[in-house]
Amino acid sequence: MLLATAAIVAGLILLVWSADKFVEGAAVTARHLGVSTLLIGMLVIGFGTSAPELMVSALAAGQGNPGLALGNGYGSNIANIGLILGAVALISPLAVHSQVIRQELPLLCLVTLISAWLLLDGAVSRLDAVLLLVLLAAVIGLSIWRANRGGDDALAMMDDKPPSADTMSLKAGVIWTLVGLVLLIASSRLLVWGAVYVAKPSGSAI
Amino acid sequence: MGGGLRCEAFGVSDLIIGLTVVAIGTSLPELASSISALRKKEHDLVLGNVIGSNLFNTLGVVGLAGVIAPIDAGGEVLSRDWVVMAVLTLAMAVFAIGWRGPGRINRVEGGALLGVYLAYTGYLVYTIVQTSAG
Repeated sequence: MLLATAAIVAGLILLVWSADKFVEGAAVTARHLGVSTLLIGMLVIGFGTSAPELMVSALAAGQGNPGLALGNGYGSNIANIGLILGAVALISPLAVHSQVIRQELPLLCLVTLISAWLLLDGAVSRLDAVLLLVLLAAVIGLSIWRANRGGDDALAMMDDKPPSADTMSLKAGVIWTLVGLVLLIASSRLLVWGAVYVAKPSGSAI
Repeated sequence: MGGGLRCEAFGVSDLIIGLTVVAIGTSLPELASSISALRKKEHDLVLGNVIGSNLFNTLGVVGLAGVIAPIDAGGEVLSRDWVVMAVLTLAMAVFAIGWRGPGRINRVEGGALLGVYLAYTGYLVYTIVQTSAG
Protein backbone atom coordinates (compact mmCIF):
# COMPACT_ATOMS: atom_id res chain seq x y z
CA MET A 1 0.00 0.00 0.00
CA LEU A 2 2.84 2.37 0.88
CA LEU A 3 4.55 1.49 -2.37
CA ALA A 4 1.33 2.08 -4.33
CA THR A 5 0.81 5.47 -2.68
CA ALA A 6 4.41 6.37 -3.45
CA ALA A 7 3.80 5.28 -7.07
CA ILE A 8 0.79 7.61 -7.32
CA VAL A 9 2.65 10.61 -5.88
CA ALA A 10 5.81 9.99 -7.92
CA GLY A 11 3.75 9.22 -11.04
CA LEU A 12 1.79 12.45 -10.73
CA ILE A 13 4.87 14.62 -10.23
CA LEU A 14 6.71 12.91 -13.07
CA LEU A 15 3.63 13.16 -15.33
CA VAL A 16 3.26 16.92 -14.92
CA TRP A 17 6.99 17.55 -15.24
CA SER A 18 7.52 15.32 -18.29
CA ALA A 19 4.42 16.71 -20.07
CA ASP A 20 5.89 20.16 -19.62
CA LYS A 21 9.28 19.14 -21.01
CA PHE A 22 7.67 17.20 -23.87
CA VAL A 23 5.51 20.13 -25.00
CA GLU A 24 8.32 22.67 -24.56
CA GLY A 25 10.71 20.45 -26.51
CA ALA A 26 8.17 19.97 -29.30
CA ALA A 27 7.33 23.68 -29.53
CA VAL A 28 11.02 24.66 -29.57
CA THR A 29 11.75 22.05 -32.24
CA ALA A 30 8.90 23.42 -34.38
CA ARG A 31 10.23 26.97 -34.17
CA HIS A 32 13.83 25.98 -34.90
CA LEU A 33 12.68 24.02 -37.96
CA GLY A 34 10.39 26.86 -39.00
CA VAL A 35 7.31 24.66 -39.25
CA SER A 36 3.94 25.48 -37.70
CA THR A 37 3.28 24.28 -34.18
CA LEU A 38 0.16 22.58 -35.52
CA LEU A 39 2.22 20.19 -37.63
CA ILE A 40 4.44 19.30 -34.66
CA GLY A 41 1.31 19.02 -32.52
CA MET A 42 -0.20 16.58 -34.98
CA LEU A 43 2.78 14.50 -35.94
CA VAL A 44 4.93 14.46 -32.80
CA ILE A 45 2.55 15.06 -29.90
CA GLY A 46 -0.55 13.50 -31.48
CA PHE A 47 1.16 10.39 -32.83
CA GLY A 48 3.60 10.15 -29.92
CA THR A 49 0.96 10.12 -27.22
CA SER A 50 -0.93 7.43 -29.17
CA ALA A 51 2.08 5.12 -29.19
CA PRO A 52 0.79 3.17 -26.14
CA GLU A 53 -2.52 2.46 -27.91
CA LEU A 54 -0.61 1.25 -30.97
CA MET A 55 1.63 -1.07 -28.94
CA VAL A 56 -1.20 -2.52 -26.86
CA SER A 57 -3.40 -3.07 -29.93
CA ALA A 58 -0.64 -4.62 -32.05
CA LEU A 59 0.36 -6.98 -29.22
CA ALA A 60 -3.26 -8.00 -28.66
CA ALA A 61 -3.71 -8.64 -32.39
CA GLY A 62 -0.60 -10.82 -32.35
CA GLN A 63 -2.15 -12.81 -29.50
CA GLY A 64 -5.33 -13.38 -31.54
CA ASN A 65 -7.42 -10.57 -30.05
CA PRO A 66 -7.40 -7.88 -32.76
CA GLY A 67 -10.83 -6.57 -31.70
CA LEU A 68 -9.12 -4.70 -28.87
CA ALA A 69 -7.77 -2.26 -31.44
CA LEU A 70 -11.25 -0.98 -32.30
CA GLY A 71 -12.23 -0.47 -28.65
CA ASN A 72 -8.85 1.07 -27.92
CA GLY A 73 -8.68 3.30 -30.97
CA TYR A 74 -12.26 4.52 -31.01
CA GLY A 75 -12.43 4.78 -27.21
CA SER A 76 -9.29 6.88 -27.28
CA ASN A 77 -10.74 9.13 -30.01
CA ILE A 78 -13.89 9.67 -27.95
CA ALA A 79 -11.78 10.51 -24.86
CA ASN A 80 -9.53 12.86 -26.87
CA ILE A 81 -12.42 15.02 -28.04
CA GLY A 82 -14.89 14.61 -25.18
CA LEU A 83 -12.62 14.44 -22.16
CA ILE A 84 -9.48 16.26 -23.24
CA LEU A 85 -10.67 18.92 -25.67
CA GLY A 86 -13.85 19.36 -23.61
CA ALA A 87 -11.98 19.78 -20.31
CA VAL A 88 -9.30 22.02 -21.82
CA ALA A 89 -11.89 24.33 -23.44
CA LEU A 90 -13.77 24.42 -20.16
CA ILE A 91 -10.60 25.54 -18.34
CA SER A 92 -9.85 28.19 -20.96
CA PRO A 93 -11.62 28.92 -24.27
CA LEU A 94 -9.46 27.63 -27.10
CA ALA A 95 -8.50 30.02 -29.88
CA VAL A 96 -8.10 28.44 -33.31
CA HIS A 97 -5.53 30.51 -35.19
CA SER A 98 -4.59 28.16 -37.93
CA GLN A 99 -5.90 28.00 -41.47
CA VAL A 100 -4.50 24.48 -41.60
CA ILE A 101 -7.06 23.38 -39.02
CA ARG A 102 -9.76 24.37 -41.47
CA GLN A 103 -8.28 21.78 -43.81
CA GLU A 104 -7.34 19.10 -41.27
CA LEU A 105 -10.76 18.95 -39.61
CA PRO A 106 -12.73 18.05 -42.76
CA LEU A 107 -9.97 15.51 -43.49
CA LEU A 108 -10.52 13.91 -40.07
CA CYS A 109 -14.28 13.82 -40.74
CA LEU A 110 -13.63 12.14 -44.09
CA VAL A 111 -11.33 9.56 -42.49
CA THR A 112 -14.02 8.86 -39.87
CA LEU A 113 -16.58 8.27 -42.64
CA ILE A 114 -14.22 5.94 -44.50
CA SER A 115 -13.73 3.90 -41.32
CA ALA A 116 -17.51 3.43 -41.05
CA TRP A 117 -17.69 2.36 -44.68
CA LEU A 118 -15.04 -0.30 -44.01
CA LEU A 119 -16.92 -1.51 -40.92
CA LEU A 120 -20.27 -1.86 -42.72
CA ASP A 121 -19.57 -5.48 -43.71
CA GLY A 122 -18.91 -6.32 -40.04
CA ALA A 123 -15.17 -6.83 -40.34
CA VAL A 124 -11.88 -5.11 -40.99
CA SER A 125 -10.22 -7.44 -43.48
CA ARG A 126 -6.49 -7.38 -44.25
CA LEU A 127 -7.26 -5.41 -47.42
CA ASP A 128 -9.26 -2.85 -45.40
CA ALA A 129 -6.39 -2.61 -42.91
CA VAL A 130 -3.83 -2.04 -45.66
CA LEU A 131 -6.08 0.69 -47.06
CA LEU A 132 -6.14 2.37 -43.63
CA LEU A 133 -2.34 2.32 -43.42
CA VAL A 134 -1.99 3.70 -46.97
CA LEU A 135 -4.39 6.50 -46.00
CA LEU A 136 -2.28 7.24 -42.91
CA ALA A 137 0.85 7.53 -45.05
CA ALA A 138 -1.04 9.84 -47.43
CA VAL A 139 -2.27 12.02 -44.56
CA ILE A 140 1.26 12.33 -43.14
CA GLY A 141 2.67 13.12 -46.58
CA LEU A 142 0.00 15.74 -47.22
CA SER A 143 0.63 17.44 -43.85
CA ILE A 144 4.38 17.62 -44.41
CA TRP A 145 3.92 18.84 -47.98
CA ARG A 146 1.59 21.59 -46.79
CA ALA A 147 4.00 22.63 -44.05
CA ASN A 148 6.88 22.77 -46.52
CA ARG A 149 5.04 25.06 -48.87
CA GLY A 150 5.63 27.54 -46.06
CA GLY A 151 4.20 30.99 -45.53
CA ASP A 152 0.80 29.56 -46.32
CA ASP A 153 -0.19 29.40 -42.72
CA ALA A 154 0.91 32.91 -41.87
CA LEU A 155 -1.88 33.30 -39.36
CA ALA A 156 -0.66 30.36 -37.32
CA MET A 157 2.95 31.52 -37.40
CA MET A 158 2.13 35.12 -36.64
CA ASP A 159 1.85 34.75 -32.90
CA ASP A 160 4.75 32.32 -32.68
CA LYS A 161 7.77 33.55 -30.84
CA PRO A 162 11.01 33.68 -32.85
CA PRO A 163 13.52 30.90 -32.09
CA SER A 164 15.74 33.42 -30.30
CA ALA A 165 13.08 33.68 -27.59
CA ASP A 166 13.73 30.05 -26.68
CA THR A 167 16.43 29.08 -24.28
CA MET A 168 16.67 25.58 -25.79
CA SER A 169 18.75 24.69 -28.83
CA LEU A 170 17.31 22.47 -31.57
CA LYS A 171 19.27 19.51 -30.22
CA ALA A 172 17.97 20.08 -26.69
CA GLY A 173 14.46 20.48 -28.12
CA VAL A 174 14.59 17.11 -29.91
CA ILE A 175 16.12 15.35 -26.89
CA TRP A 176 13.52 16.77 -24.48
CA THR A 177 10.73 15.79 -26.90
CA LEU A 178 11.90 12.16 -26.88
CA VAL A 179 12.81 11.94 -23.17
CA GLY A 180 9.61 13.77 -22.25
CA LEU A 181 7.48 11.32 -24.26
CA VAL A 182 9.07 8.22 -22.73
CA LEU A 183 8.73 9.61 -19.19
CA LEU A 184 5.18 10.76 -19.92
CA ILE A 185 4.09 7.25 -20.91
CA ALA A 186 6.05 5.59 -18.09
CA SER A 187 4.62 7.91 -15.43
CA SER A 188 1.07 7.31 -16.72
CA ARG A 189 1.60 3.57 -16.31
CA LEU A 190 3.05 4.08 -12.83
CA LEU A 191 0.05 6.20 -11.84
CA VAL A 192 -2.45 3.66 -13.18
CA TRP A 193 -0.68 0.80 -11.41
CA GLY A 194 -0.76 2.69 -8.12
CA ALA A 195 -4.40 3.74 -8.51
CA VAL A 196 -5.58 0.22 -9.40
CA TYR A 197 -3.62 -1.22 -6.48
CA VAL A 198 -5.08 1.26 -3.99
CA ALA A 199 -8.59 0.68 -5.36
CA LYS A 200 -8.20 -3.09 -5.15
CA PRO A 201 -5.13 -4.28 -3.26
CA SER A 202 -5.80 -8.01 -3.74
CA GLY A 203 -5.91 -8.10 -7.52
CA SER A 204 -3.44 -7.06 -10.13
CA ALA A 205 -5.77 -8.18 -12.89
CA ILE A 206 -5.48 -5.01 -14.94
CA MET B 1 -11.54 0.95 -23.43
CA GLY B 2 -14.64 -1.19 -22.91
CA GLY B 3 -14.42 -3.10 -26.16
CA GLY B 4 -11.42 -5.12 -25.13
CA LEU B 5 -12.28 -6.06 -21.59
CA ARG B 6 -13.57 -9.58 -21.21
CA CYS B 7 -16.65 -9.21 -19.05
CA GLU B 8 -16.76 -12.75 -17.76
CA ALA B 9 -13.20 -12.64 -16.48
CA PHE B 10 -13.76 -9.69 -14.14
CA GLY B 11 -16.20 -8.90 -11.37
CA VAL B 12 -18.28 -5.77 -11.66
CA SER B 13 -16.00 -3.68 -9.46
CA ASP B 14 -12.96 -4.76 -11.47
CA LEU B 15 -14.72 -3.67 -14.62
CA ILE B 16 -15.62 -0.28 -13.28
CA ILE B 17 -12.05 0.21 -12.09
CA GLY B 18 -10.93 -0.92 -15.53
CA LEU B 19 -13.25 1.40 -17.39
CA THR B 20 -12.58 4.47 -15.28
CA VAL B 21 -9.01 4.27 -13.96
CA VAL B 22 -7.47 2.49 -16.92
CA ALA B 23 -9.41 4.46 -19.54
CA ILE B 24 -8.41 7.75 -17.96
CA GLY B 25 -4.92 6.33 -17.47
CA THR B 26 -4.43 5.68 -21.18
CA SER B 27 -5.60 9.24 -21.86
CA LEU B 28 -3.24 10.76 -19.29
CA PRO B 29 -0.37 11.49 -21.71
CA GLU B 30 -2.76 13.41 -23.99
CA LEU B 31 -4.43 15.16 -21.06
CA ALA B 32 -1.19 16.21 -19.36
CA SER B 33 0.44 17.42 -22.58
CA SER B 34 -2.72 19.32 -23.61
CA ILE B 35 -2.99 21.15 -20.30
CA SER B 36 0.73 21.90 -20.45
CA ALA B 37 0.31 23.29 -23.98
CA LEU B 38 -2.62 25.39 -22.78
CA ARG B 39 -0.52 26.86 -19.96
CA LYS B 40 2.16 27.80 -22.49
CA LYS B 41 -0.53 29.45 -24.65
CA GLU B 42 0.24 27.02 -27.48
CA HIS B 43 -3.40 26.59 -28.46
CA ASP B 44 -2.58 25.11 -31.86
CA LEU B 45 -0.69 22.31 -30.11
CA VAL B 46 -3.83 21.28 -28.20
CA LEU B 47 -6.01 20.93 -31.29
CA GLY B 48 -3.14 19.52 -33.34
CA ASN B 49 -2.60 16.89 -30.65
CA VAL B 50 -6.25 15.81 -30.75
CA ILE B 51 -6.50 15.81 -34.57
CA GLY B 52 -3.20 13.96 -35.00
CA SER B 53 -3.97 11.46 -32.27
CA ASN B 54 -7.38 10.66 -33.75
CA LEU B 55 -6.05 10.27 -37.29
CA PHE B 56 -3.39 7.96 -35.90
CA ASN B 57 -5.88 5.89 -33.87
CA THR B 58 -8.41 5.47 -36.68
CA LEU B 59 -5.88 4.73 -39.41
CA GLY B 60 -2.69 3.49 -37.72
CA VAL B 61 -3.86 1.63 -34.60
CA VAL B 62 -6.78 -0.13 -36.32
CA GLY B 63 -4.82 -0.57 -39.56
CA LEU B 64 -1.78 -2.20 -37.97
CA ALA B 65 -3.89 -4.54 -35.81
CA GLY B 66 -6.00 -5.46 -38.85
CA VAL B 67 -2.93 -6.30 -40.92
CA ILE B 68 -1.66 -8.58 -38.13
CA ALA B 69 -5.06 -10.31 -37.79
CA PRO B 70 -8.38 -9.45 -39.52
CA ILE B 71 -10.80 -7.82 -37.07
CA ASP B 72 -14.30 -9.09 -36.51
CA ALA B 73 -16.29 -5.94 -35.77
CA GLY B 74 -19.48 -6.49 -33.78
CA GLY B 75 -22.57 -4.40 -34.48
CA GLU B 76 -22.04 -2.29 -31.36
CA VAL B 77 -18.77 -0.89 -32.64
CA LEU B 78 -20.56 0.74 -35.56
CA SER B 79 -23.90 1.54 -33.92
CA ARG B 80 -22.55 2.79 -30.58
CA ASP B 81 -18.83 3.64 -30.53
CA TRP B 82 -18.47 4.86 -34.12
CA VAL B 83 -21.63 6.99 -33.85
CA VAL B 84 -20.42 8.73 -30.65
CA MET B 85 -16.99 9.24 -32.24
CA ALA B 86 -18.54 10.70 -35.41
CA VAL B 87 -20.85 13.04 -33.47
CA LEU B 88 -17.92 14.34 -31.39
CA THR B 89 -15.68 14.70 -34.45
CA LEU B 90 -18.32 16.66 -36.34
CA ALA B 91 -19.08 18.83 -33.30
CA MET B 92 -15.37 19.61 -32.86
CA ALA B 93 -15.08 20.55 -36.56
CA VAL B 94 -18.14 22.81 -36.44
CA PHE B 95 -16.96 24.51 -33.22
CA ALA B 96 -13.33 24.95 -34.28
CA ILE B 97 -13.65 26.05 -37.89
CA GLY B 98 -15.38 29.31 -36.98
CA TRP B 99 -17.79 30.22 -39.72
CA ARG B 100 -17.52 33.96 -39.16
CA GLY B 101 -14.00 35.12 -38.33
CA PRO B 102 -11.41 33.07 -36.42
CA GLY B 103 -12.58 29.90 -34.78
CA ARG B 104 -12.82 29.49 -31.05
CA ILE B 105 -13.98 26.62 -28.86
CA ASN B 106 -15.69 28.35 -25.96
CA ARG B 107 -16.58 27.08 -22.48
CA VAL B 108 -20.16 26.13 -23.38
CA GLU B 109 -18.94 24.07 -26.35
CA GLY B 110 -16.22 22.47 -24.20
CA GLY B 111 -18.86 21.62 -21.60
CA ALA B 112 -21.05 20.05 -24.28
CA LEU B 113 -18.16 17.84 -25.50
CA LEU B 114 -17.40 16.79 -21.92
CA GLY B 115 -21.12 16.08 -21.34
CA VAL B 116 -21.22 13.69 -24.30
CA TYR B 117 -18.11 11.91 -23.00
CA LEU B 118 -19.55 11.51 -19.49
CA ALA B 119 -22.89 10.27 -20.86
CA TYR B 120 -21.13 7.73 -23.11
CA THR B 121 -18.91 6.47 -20.27
CA GLY B 122 -21.88 6.33 -17.91
CA TYR B 123 -23.86 4.35 -20.47
CA LEU B 124 -20.95 1.90 -20.94
CA VAL B 125 -20.65 1.33 -17.19
CA TYR B 126 -24.44 0.93 -16.92
CA THR B 127 -24.70 -1.67 -19.69
CA ILE B 128 -21.75 -3.64 -18.33
CA VAL B 129 -23.18 -3.67 -14.81
CA GLN B 130 -26.53 -4.79 -16.28
CA THR B 131 -24.90 -7.55 -18.33
CA SER B 132 -22.81 -8.77 -15.41
CA ALA B 133 -25.77 -8.76 -13.02
CA GLY B 134 -28.05 -10.56 -15.46
